[in-house]
Parts: sequence; structure tokens; C-alpha cells
Amino acid sequence: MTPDWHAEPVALRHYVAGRIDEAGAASIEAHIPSCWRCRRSVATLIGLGPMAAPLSRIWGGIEERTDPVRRGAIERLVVRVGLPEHIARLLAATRSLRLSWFAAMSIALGFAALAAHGSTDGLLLFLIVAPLVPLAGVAAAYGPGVDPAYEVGLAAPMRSFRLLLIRSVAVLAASITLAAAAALTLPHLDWAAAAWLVPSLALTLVTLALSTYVSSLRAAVGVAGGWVAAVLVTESLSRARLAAFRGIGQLAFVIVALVAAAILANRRDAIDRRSA
Amino acid sequence: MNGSAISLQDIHRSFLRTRALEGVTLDIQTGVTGLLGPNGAGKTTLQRILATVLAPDRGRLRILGLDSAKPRERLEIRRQLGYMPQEPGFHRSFTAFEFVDYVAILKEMTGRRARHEEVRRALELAGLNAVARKRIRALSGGMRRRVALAQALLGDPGVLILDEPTAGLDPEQRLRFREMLSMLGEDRTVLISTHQTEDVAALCQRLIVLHRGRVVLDGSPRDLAEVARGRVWLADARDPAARLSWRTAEGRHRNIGEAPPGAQMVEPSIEDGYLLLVGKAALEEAA
Repeated sequence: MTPDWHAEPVALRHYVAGRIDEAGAASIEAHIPSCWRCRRSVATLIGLGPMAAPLSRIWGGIEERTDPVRRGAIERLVVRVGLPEHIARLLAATRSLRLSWFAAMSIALGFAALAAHGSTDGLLLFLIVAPLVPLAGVAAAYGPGVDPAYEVGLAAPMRSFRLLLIRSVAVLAASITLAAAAALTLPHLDWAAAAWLVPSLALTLVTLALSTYVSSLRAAVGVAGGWVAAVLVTESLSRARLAAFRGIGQLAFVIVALVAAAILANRRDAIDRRSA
Repeated sequence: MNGSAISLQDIHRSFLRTRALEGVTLDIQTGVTGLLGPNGAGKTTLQRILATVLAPDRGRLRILGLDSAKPRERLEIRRQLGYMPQEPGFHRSFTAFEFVDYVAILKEMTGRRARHEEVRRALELAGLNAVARKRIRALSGGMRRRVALAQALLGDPGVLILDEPTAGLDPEQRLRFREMLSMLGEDRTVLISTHQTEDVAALCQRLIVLHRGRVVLDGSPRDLAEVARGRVWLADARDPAARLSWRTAEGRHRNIGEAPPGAQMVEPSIEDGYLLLVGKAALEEAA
């Protein structure tokens, strides 16, 4: 029930500013629970006044503590890095950004790095495996068969292309960090230790471009198979060691990456709907 | 919202050699519309096209006056659409709240405070407050369907596309769903596909029967029952003239088909009409 009297606007301003005597404050505090009009006036004055920022911070803290969403280590890290909370949430639903995925990839890279200590063929194995880590991660990040809520997401207004890019960039950054850490353990830290980087980008972009035609899993399997075959054939035909990773090879990967990026940008609407 | 919220013109869709939809033309208005049909009739394909998830091979779809073939207009349609797929996938490690919150982000609700309020509203509407913090993998099938419904209700959409919303629900849950859908259909367009003729009879002002990718009936539940008028009779034994016949709880046989002279005709039900309509086509298919 609204009472038939209202506090004076001046009194409310003084109350909000903390410039009112104890009796006046007690009177207002007794009145406002039953008067929506004065309550709204107080809320408006607080929102305009110097208390707005500290109150918002306090409210934010309360929300933080009563947040019904559990946030994992990676999600908290993403927020701490400075990305918005809702982007972190989108990443939390990405299979290839889970600790179990990183553990599996670390083991694969660890074995490849270990093999590199044994022989030149071992180094070749590391250079073949390292670009496959981001490729696999991106393929498992988004699409039919890998994202359980894929169909619900397609019907939502957030563009699939945007979601794909957000997840792919996050997975790529994490995977490259992992591969770089593994590369630091190689026996010789020369050019070969970084020779996997450009092929990684190229293979990932080719996979993304192909996923506008077929499912991301099929695209990844095809690209991975083609990659292994291409490196092995080049290695067997060329007299130079690690031929696919030298100057001309790196240039070819740059060109492939640019072409794939152009195809992906051109066909971004194709991933906005299902083909079957 | 007045007039046709959804307009389909000559929609065709095939999967390899299978023709899922063949020339479907419909106008759907505010209220609850039921989509009935046997397995493989094309219901899910039609709903996925309406949800803008799948593109038709041919034909035109407009929702709320917007053309789904144009990317910008499609985006606007999605802003006003709630979709519950037949088999909604879940991130099963998420809680009900977390999953609906995740979909809310996909629905462009980025501010946490307002988004969480909207998630709470949708969960409350779906009757999920008590289990909001439970993991989805710990929920029953009926509860999961409610989670799927809750995500469809986010943002108070003007058009709701619900694929088999009552499948797998126990009788009490089904009644709760009916109550909720009836309430939702008061001021928006709700299209539900179902196998359950009782749901259609209880809820829908209009129903569409699909068979082999074509609309074979478009009318009211009464129109469907009328298909069987004069073709349902009771007898003490199975009548050889009947296409379908079963023993009822009273111990007599309910026969459906071309009634013999002097048969004791009874008032047809929606189910009788549906069985005749689709059963006849099924018999022709088998011949």
C-alpha cells in the first residue's frame, strides 16, 4: 500500500548524500519500504550520485559469490586475461579447450619431442605431429558431431562463423603454446624448432575452409592425411633433409594459408546452416 | 501478432534420393498448431527448415514477414524464434542453469546480470527452479526435455518451433507441458510436431497432417475426426471389412474402414481420422 505522504525531495537528496541527521534518516528509512515512489526516487538519486560506482562494485561482488555458474580453470584464466565473461563461457563449452584434451595433446607432443632426440627421422616426426595438434583442436572445437548443442546454436542469432572463429583462435593459441613448449625441449634450437609454425596455420585454415563444404571432422581427417603424405613424398623425392619445411616449402604454406583464409571468408555464410 | 506469422510456399527438400518434402505450402497464424504424421513423413525436416537450421532445395519461407533465404533477415528471424529440436544435444557436464545460460549467450544476451535474470525466468517457466543447479547428466529424460524447452523460451520469442516436445514424458509431465504450451500459444505462434493425437486434440486450434512429404490434411482437429465419419462402427467381433480393428475396454471391437450395411456407427475420434488418413496411404504404399 502506498502511503498518502512522500518525503521531501531535498530531504531525500540529503539522505542519499549522507548529510541528514539521525532522526531524519530514521524517518525516511521507516517510510521507504512502504512507498514505491520514494523508493524509486532514492534509487534514482543513488544511481546518479557518487555511491553508484561503489554500489555497483558491491553488487558485482555479491553476484560473483552467488554466481550459479561454476567456472573451470581455463574459463577463469580467460577472464583474468581480460576477455569478456560471455566469451569465456562460450570457450568453456569447447571440447578441445578442456584439460583432458591438453593432457592428450601433451603426451603426443612429448613422445614426438622424445623421438627427435633419437634421430633426424625423429625430428621429422615432431615436425609432422606439431601442426596436427592445432588442426585436431580446431576440428574438435565446433561443428556437427563435435558440439552437442550444435543444432540449437545454429537456430540462435549468434553467427556460426563468429562462434567458429572465437573457438578456433582460442584453440589455436593454446595449441601453439603447447607445441612451442614441446619445441623448446628439442635437441637443437635452430630454425627447425620453429619450422612447424607456418604449416600449423596453413593446415588449420585449410581445415576451416574445407569445413564450409564437409563436416569439420572429415575436413580434418582429409587434411591430416594429405599433410602426412605430402611431407613423406617430399622427403623421399628431395635430396635436402626436411625439404618440406625449408624456404620454398614455407612460402608454399604461406600461399596456401592465404588462399584458405580467402575461401573461408568468402564462404562464411555456408556454415550458417546444416547441409543434411 | 496478427495475420500469417509463418508462410511457406512450395517447399521442397531431398536427402540424396529421398524426398523429405514435396511442395509444402502453408500459412500459420498465432496460436498452437499441431504437425502430425508417421515416422518419415517429413515433420522434422519441415521444423528444421522453419527453425532456419536447414535450407530448402526449392521454395520460399517467410517468418514474421522476413525472408529466411536472405542472411540478414534470417538473423532477424532467429532473434524472434525459439527452437526445440527433436533430439536436443546437451553439454552434459553443465548444470541446467549453465546450459540455458550458454544458449542465452548464443542468443546475444551478453550482460551477465540481465542474462541470468532471463535464464531464471525461462527455468521457472519450464518448472525447473528446483533442479537448476543439477548437472544435466543427472536429470531424467522428462527433465531434460524441459531444459530443452527452457532454452527455447529465452528472450520470449514470438515464434516457437517444438519438435516432439511431449515425447518420453510421463502422463503428469505431459499434462504440465500441455498447460504450458496452451499458455504460450495465447499470444504467439507455436508449432508442435507430435505422434500423439491426444496432444493435438487437447491443445491445437489447427492441425496439419504430413505424409510422405506432402500435406494431406490442413484443418481443425474436428476436420480430422470428420475424415472417419460414417466409417467407424462397433461389433461383437473383428469385422473382415475393416481396415483396422481392435477390442475395446468394453469388450467390443471398434472397426474402422468401409462399414457394412446395418453396422452400429459411432462418433469418430481424431485418432480414427488419423489412422484412416495415414493408414490408407500406408496400405497403398505396401501394395
